[in-house]
Amino acid sequence: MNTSKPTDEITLEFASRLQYLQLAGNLCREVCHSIGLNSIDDEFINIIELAVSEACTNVIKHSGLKDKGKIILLFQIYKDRLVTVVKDHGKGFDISQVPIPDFDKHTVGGYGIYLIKTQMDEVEYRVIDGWNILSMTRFFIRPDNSEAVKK
Amino acid sequence: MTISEETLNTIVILKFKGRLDASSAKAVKDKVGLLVKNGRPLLVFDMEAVDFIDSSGLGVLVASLRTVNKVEGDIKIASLQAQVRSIFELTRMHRLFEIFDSSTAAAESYTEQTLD
Repeated sequence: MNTSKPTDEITLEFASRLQYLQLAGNLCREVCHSIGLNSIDDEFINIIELAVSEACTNVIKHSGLKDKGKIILLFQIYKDRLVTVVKDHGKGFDISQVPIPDFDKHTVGGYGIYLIKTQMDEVEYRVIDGWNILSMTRFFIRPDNSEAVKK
Repeated sequence: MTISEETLNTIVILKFKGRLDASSAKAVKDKVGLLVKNGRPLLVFDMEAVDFIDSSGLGVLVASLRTVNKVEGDIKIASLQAQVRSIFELTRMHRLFEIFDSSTAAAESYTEQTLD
């Protein structure tokens, strides 16, 4: 694990309700624009917004917190990467046990974690003091071996 | 997200604007359900003004397709923005839906099918 400290942190705490997904998405865009690097293009921003939407929707729909809990969205800006963290205190899940979607069946659901894992460079899920913590890292300049660093 | 509706003969073109995610999925599901109930299952989804879609948005598109297919209807997709098309391709949804460059082309494809 990289132990360096972020240069900046931005936090949004909001009620676990679907109506706030757009707020979280808008903040993703604002945070990415605020970093002000040429390497942060539309593709980078879209991926961060997608990952946050998937992670927050998972919490709202599946953690048992819908309309009665809170989500903490934390952006940690480092010199070379953006770490986006989604925290909740719901029932959690084992990210390693989430299956890859069956693409031939075109199922209605089951794509969220797949999209996060394939679009981010590093994904880590931990439970600390009752908080489920999903950390999603995207480097500003992707490492050549980005496939190898996915967890 | 907003949904506006245009009719071209027997075909209904739904124009979506905004984000298609879990917060807007129910509006799409309800709209499609109402059209099917009224006997209008030949649909075009015009996505020109959709700037964001996630897996919940895709999910309601698939569910809607299943709903109209049960009554011999169909959904054709038109005018995807690049980032939305990318999500379709990542999840292989571009193999499930017919995708057109414009809602006019999508609507005309129904007519061509009828002539066939």
